[in-house]
Amino acid sequence: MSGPDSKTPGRRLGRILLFCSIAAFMSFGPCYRQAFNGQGELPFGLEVDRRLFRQWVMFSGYGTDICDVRYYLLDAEGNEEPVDRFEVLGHESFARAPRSVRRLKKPSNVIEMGKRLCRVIRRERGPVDLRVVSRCGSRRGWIPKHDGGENLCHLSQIRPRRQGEP
Amino acid sequence: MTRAAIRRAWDFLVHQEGSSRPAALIRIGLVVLVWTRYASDFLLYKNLEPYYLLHGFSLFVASTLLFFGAFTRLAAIWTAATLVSFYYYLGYAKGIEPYTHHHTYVLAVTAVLLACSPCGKSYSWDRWRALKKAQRIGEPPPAESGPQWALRLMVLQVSLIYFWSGFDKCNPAFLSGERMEHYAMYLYIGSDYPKSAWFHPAMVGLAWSTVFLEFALAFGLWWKRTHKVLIPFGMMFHAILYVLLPVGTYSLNMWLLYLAVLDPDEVHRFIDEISTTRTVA
Repeated sequence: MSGPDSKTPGRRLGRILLFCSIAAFMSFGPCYRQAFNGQGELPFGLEVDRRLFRQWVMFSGYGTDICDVRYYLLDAEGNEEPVDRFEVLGHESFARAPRSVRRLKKPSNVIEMGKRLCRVIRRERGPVDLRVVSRCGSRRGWIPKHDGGENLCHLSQIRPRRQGEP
Repeated sequence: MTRAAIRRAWDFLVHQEGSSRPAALIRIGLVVLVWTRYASDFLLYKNLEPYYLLHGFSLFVASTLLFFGAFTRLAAIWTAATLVSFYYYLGYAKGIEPYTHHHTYVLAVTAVLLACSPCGKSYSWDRWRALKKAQRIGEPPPAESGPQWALRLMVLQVSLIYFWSGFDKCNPAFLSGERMEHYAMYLYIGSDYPKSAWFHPAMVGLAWSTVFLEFALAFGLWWKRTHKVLIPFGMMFHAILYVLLPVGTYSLNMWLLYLAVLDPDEVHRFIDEISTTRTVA
């Protein structure tokens, strides 16, 4: 069944043109955008919307909305006591905790969680020194955000208003 | 000698003919994927604006014809035009962002290439009509074969996806395993870095093996000798991606495109071998 085809020269030429055009378009797109960071300016003064050409950068920014956090209490002698936020907030297990507790997406979420933990711990144990070390995701990898230099219980405990809240 | 090799490669890419069965299987599979991705978006009650109705009408009529292989060439061109319009017009011009994702582009490009393939010459209403006509005029049944250049372009598209996707990952953030850690923590683990000492090495290993596999697939799929190893690994890779990440129809679309990687006549013979003739009373 395999073998060279026996079409007329005209059809063969048409096929060659179509093959080369499609192959060139498919190959040019990612090369232009990824290797040359093309912004849409082509030779001979041509300008196109660069989105015409597909780049293959799947999930390149996906998953960066995540912070790696470690909360701990600091005593007068400088000893650290790890804080399990699930336990403090009364969640039976990691799996049963709401996503907003499990997954802190931004540095502001890290601080808000710290303030929340502080309110709960203070009710039980009085004044405490709660600290956090964190780093958050980015396309360039982990970016350090909090180095544990600040007592979160000294921050204003007023919850910022959400949009639409009176 | 070099000239002869180039000539052989050129003929293989552009002029070779072979069984139309792989293209027909891709045709049927593609319609299933297209419906999986788009059909529910175009139910009549969802949007009654004329451009939306037109796209919905096109989607359902063209892809149904394509599924059954009725007026296949026309149906394939119509389906391809519809999917390209979904990507560029609805996606970018009308701002439906999910339609600009990579998996929608792969669906569109598969449809465009399918329109250039002999996908209606097997498993189709067109094939049935051709057989009836041959019977009527006493000729032998028409061969299930046609030009394979569009399938070679499918392989090129698959290679390009792997190559540029691998290229994109060749950066310190990915190769250090940190981007893998982001995926794992964002989707599964949450904001507490795992205590296991194996977590970081595992993420580094996963990152490097992903890049290695992508480059291996980008080049290796062109060589028959490497198919036995690479195709199972490639299929496993996409299966894992499907389960772990929200990739939509992408994984199965790539599985379908692997049919274009195989020798069409071997696929044909394989189907013959696994089919038995049964007489129904």
